Amino acid sequence: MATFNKFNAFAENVYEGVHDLGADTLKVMLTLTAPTATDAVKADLTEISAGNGYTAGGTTTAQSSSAQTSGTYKLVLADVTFTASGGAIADFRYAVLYNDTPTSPADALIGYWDYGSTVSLASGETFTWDADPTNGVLQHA
Amino acid sequence: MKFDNETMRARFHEAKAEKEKLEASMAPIVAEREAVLKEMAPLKAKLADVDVRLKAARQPIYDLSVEMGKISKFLRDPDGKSRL
Repeated sequence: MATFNKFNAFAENVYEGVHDLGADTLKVMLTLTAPTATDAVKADLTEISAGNGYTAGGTTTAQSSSAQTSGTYKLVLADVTFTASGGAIADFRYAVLYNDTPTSPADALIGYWDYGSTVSLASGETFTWDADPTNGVLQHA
Repeated sequence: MKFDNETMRARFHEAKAEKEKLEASMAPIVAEREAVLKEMAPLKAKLADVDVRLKAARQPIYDLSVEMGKISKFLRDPDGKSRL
């Protein structure tokens, strides 16, 4: 899987009570425009157009666990599969994880993955955002 | 400002008195915040109860998502995409 890149604001938001990563609604959205570490909320990004199997705002990823072991926190999320249907899903290169629950700031960003080149999904093709059930999507010691 | 011991001691006590005055003036805001948090406590307890049920409801969705992901990865073609 591509490498996780943290948004700077996430580091502060975690310690100021913005996120409840165990219970909030976390989503994975797609974009073709490179995010930057200083982006803070979903509105800072340009999401791909909705349609043909891609829903505006992305897809919810279910939490399996949000817990610490010996002081190291790990967030384990479910894989998300995007399947183009009835046409192509708009080209993308980056998958972005954000928290859809908080209202202040609204839709706080967590991190993103760069797949290295543009991904095109024709009708019937599926792309899987691999959430790594062993190591989780993020850890914090 | 001089930096001899006496001047520094005097400044320390002056700063301490100033700090205590500011802390006293801030006390009502702290009390107001604590009152708001107290008002929120019943809602937090209610939310905690909802969270327990939400997490239980999410587990089978997680399991199915992981299964779908595994199948998708198993069927992945050399271009990294699956045709399901």
